[in-house]
Amino acid sequence: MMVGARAEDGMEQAPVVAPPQKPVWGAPRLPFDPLGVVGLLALMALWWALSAFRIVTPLSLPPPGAVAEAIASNFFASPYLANYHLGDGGLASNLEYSIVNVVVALFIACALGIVAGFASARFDLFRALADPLMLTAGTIPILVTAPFFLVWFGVSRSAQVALLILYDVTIVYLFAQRAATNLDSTYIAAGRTLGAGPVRLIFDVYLKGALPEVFGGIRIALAGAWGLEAFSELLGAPKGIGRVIQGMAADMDTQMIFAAVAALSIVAFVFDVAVDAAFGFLTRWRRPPRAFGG
Amino acid sequence: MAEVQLRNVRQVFRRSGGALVEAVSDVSLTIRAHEFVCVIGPSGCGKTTLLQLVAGLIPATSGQMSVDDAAIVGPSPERGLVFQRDSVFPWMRAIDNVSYGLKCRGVDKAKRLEIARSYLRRVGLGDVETSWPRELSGGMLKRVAVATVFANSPRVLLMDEPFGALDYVTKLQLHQVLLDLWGQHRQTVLFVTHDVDEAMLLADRIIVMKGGRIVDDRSIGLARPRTVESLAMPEAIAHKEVLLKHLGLGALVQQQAASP
Amino acid sequence: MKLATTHRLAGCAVTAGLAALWQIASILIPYESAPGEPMVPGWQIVATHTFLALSDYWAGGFGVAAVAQGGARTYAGAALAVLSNSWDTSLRLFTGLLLGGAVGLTCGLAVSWSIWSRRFVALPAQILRTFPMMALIPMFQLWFGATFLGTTLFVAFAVGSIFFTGAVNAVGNIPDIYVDYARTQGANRIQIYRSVILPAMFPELRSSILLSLGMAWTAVIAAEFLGAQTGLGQIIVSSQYFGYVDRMFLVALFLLLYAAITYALFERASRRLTEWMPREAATRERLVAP
Repeated sequence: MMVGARAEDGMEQAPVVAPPQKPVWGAPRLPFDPLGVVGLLALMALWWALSAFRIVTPLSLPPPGAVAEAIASNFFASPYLANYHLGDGGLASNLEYSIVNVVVALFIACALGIVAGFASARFDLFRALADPLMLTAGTIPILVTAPFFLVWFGVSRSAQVALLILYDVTIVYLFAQRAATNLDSTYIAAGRTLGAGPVRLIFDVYLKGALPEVFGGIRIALAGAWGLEAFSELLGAPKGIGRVIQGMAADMDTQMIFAAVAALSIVAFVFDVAVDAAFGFLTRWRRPPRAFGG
Repeated sequence: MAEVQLRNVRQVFRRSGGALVEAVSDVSLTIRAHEFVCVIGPSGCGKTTLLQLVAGLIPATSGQMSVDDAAIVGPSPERGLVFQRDSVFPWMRAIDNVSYGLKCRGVDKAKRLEIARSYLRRVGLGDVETSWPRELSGGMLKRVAVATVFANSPRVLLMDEPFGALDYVTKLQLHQVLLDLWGQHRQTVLFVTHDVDEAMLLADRIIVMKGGRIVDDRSIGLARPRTVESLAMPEAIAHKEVLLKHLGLGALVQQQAASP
Repeated sequence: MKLATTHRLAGCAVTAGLAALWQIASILIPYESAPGEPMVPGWQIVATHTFLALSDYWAGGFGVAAVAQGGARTYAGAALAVLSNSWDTSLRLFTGLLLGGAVGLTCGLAVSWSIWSRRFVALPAQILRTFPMMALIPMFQLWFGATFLGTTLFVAFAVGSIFFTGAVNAVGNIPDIYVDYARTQGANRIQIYRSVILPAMFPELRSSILLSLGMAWTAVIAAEFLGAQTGLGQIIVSSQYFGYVDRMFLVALFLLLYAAITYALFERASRRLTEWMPREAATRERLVAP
């Protein structure tokens, strides 16, 4: 994991100084590679063209302008949505419901997953018990449990959060376990010889060292969580973006469906970018990954 | 400074296939205070295991180990260890790495930063104390590791082929750094290496291990500071010839070698 | 004892333990969601009453009358119901998987032909990563109907996006040195593609294959939950409407079994594709007291 260019050692007698290197991130990692924006705009143009030239009916594919207008006019308050028992807060309050579920579930899942993952890396017995549970849960479609939660918790927030926690925990567990296992044992030995007790070892060495990989897992879990939340709401929820889609689908209002999906996907993207930036800052001590191109 | 005593130490490992391997067989050894001891030997001779035992990182299968009559039960900053691989925590800046041991012992922030700063300066890294380890070269990281260990005022210094991964020039620079720091208090040192020249440059006493046992124990009486000239003296060459023969490199020695 | 066997035994032990826990829970939780329909049915109920009840979902044929038309609940009816609905679900799954895989892979390869096109799709691909795929199910059902076509195309879309981003990433991660080496030997673009790019991207593609299998199962079940007329997912949802937790449980078990089997088969098959990769042989040393 220690790959990357290093500064040269300097002179023979004078203090050796190396200019701090700026991290070199390959183009695709920055969210705002200009060519990427061009690509996105090209897709938008294609979307507009498909509806503008009547290649597809506006009912099947509402034009981007109409969708944007639908988002804007229904965002903060929407008598239209209120008619569907979706609350007075418009798209915003439904988005808030979904966002809160995703975030709360992620927090709980991180706490559980990191503790379990680290424990499984450290204690073989725990790993023998936890691995079959977590790893099979990782391969089966978690979705199958959604109707069960609906029966057990009813049409409530708990059904959504329970499903998300189940999904997030299996991912975070796997990444935490891998991170703890991959941590170079030299660091742990060094910590011990420097006098670090078990608590310090966990927080100063294991946790800090494993953070980059765990963060990667958290990002992956978050990426999938949005769709899962929307789906759980589609099955049955008091409110939320998925619930909005369900209401709109019943009436074949494709424009509002697109508006809801677009709003959620924008939120998901913004969260991803923000979380990536935050994690990047917290682990700014990392050697930058090798960037390949060509 | 401290005297290290080993009595009938034996260390057995079980390989993943199930076979038992005796890495250290019945080693008895006394390292006197202030002595700089090098342990050399071919790969797999048990020298690294011996060091890990003295460090307290692994418990001995049988035998007694003590420092000044206090039994070794686990790792401690009193027996500082410099590793071969990078042990500098990448997630802490250089100065935080050097002051980490002091932090574990509860030294207050201002004091421990001051001590860390002074040691970083001693190893020539005064200007990079706030750098992340990823910004430092291999040689610089090794200096940080050495500074870290010395900052804890160890009574015994353990070094596990610390400079093995460095290039020739950097290695020689690090020798000077080490000897400079060691010269101040002359801690007891147990230095493991496979490099005979390195051992000749650094050690008061060289122990040769083979197959988990000690097969030779020689006092190196060369005067310090040691230079290229001192290594070319007849008694130095004589030592080296015997050591090379122990390592199975007798072909490099002329047949009419002077007896030790 | 070898580590692998210990793990397998532990896996069996955990499964057995969970089954036992379920049985204990069925005794301790006597609640019923409807008269005669326990919320946590014990295994004895699942094997008899529940399985028989599945014959409700057999529409009649092969000499077995439909329950809805006055026929009795029979094991034959139940078996036929399970088989035909499993067939429906599997057909949608594999058709979608193959279609999505083929289209996604070709598009991904086409795009990664040159670095410029790869940079063009970088931002859209990143948006695709976090896109709430399953929110689109109602759209697909509106466009293509709620049975075979809509479900299959949704599965294809979900799988296709995974293969697309996977292929683009895999090609981007191939070390330059392999391509440079081929170029110094005089290979043209097509030859480089065939002899370097395709084989070198296989290992990373393997993880995309496994990921997309999981996604395919999720997609097909999700689509069936939301409005199919047949299929195992549909049975679960219509049972849930009436609170028949035992039927949900049994059908879910079938689904999990199928998913586990396909996953194991895929893993084995894809392993052979990546046999040339150097593998780290880990040897663990353990201390033993004499």
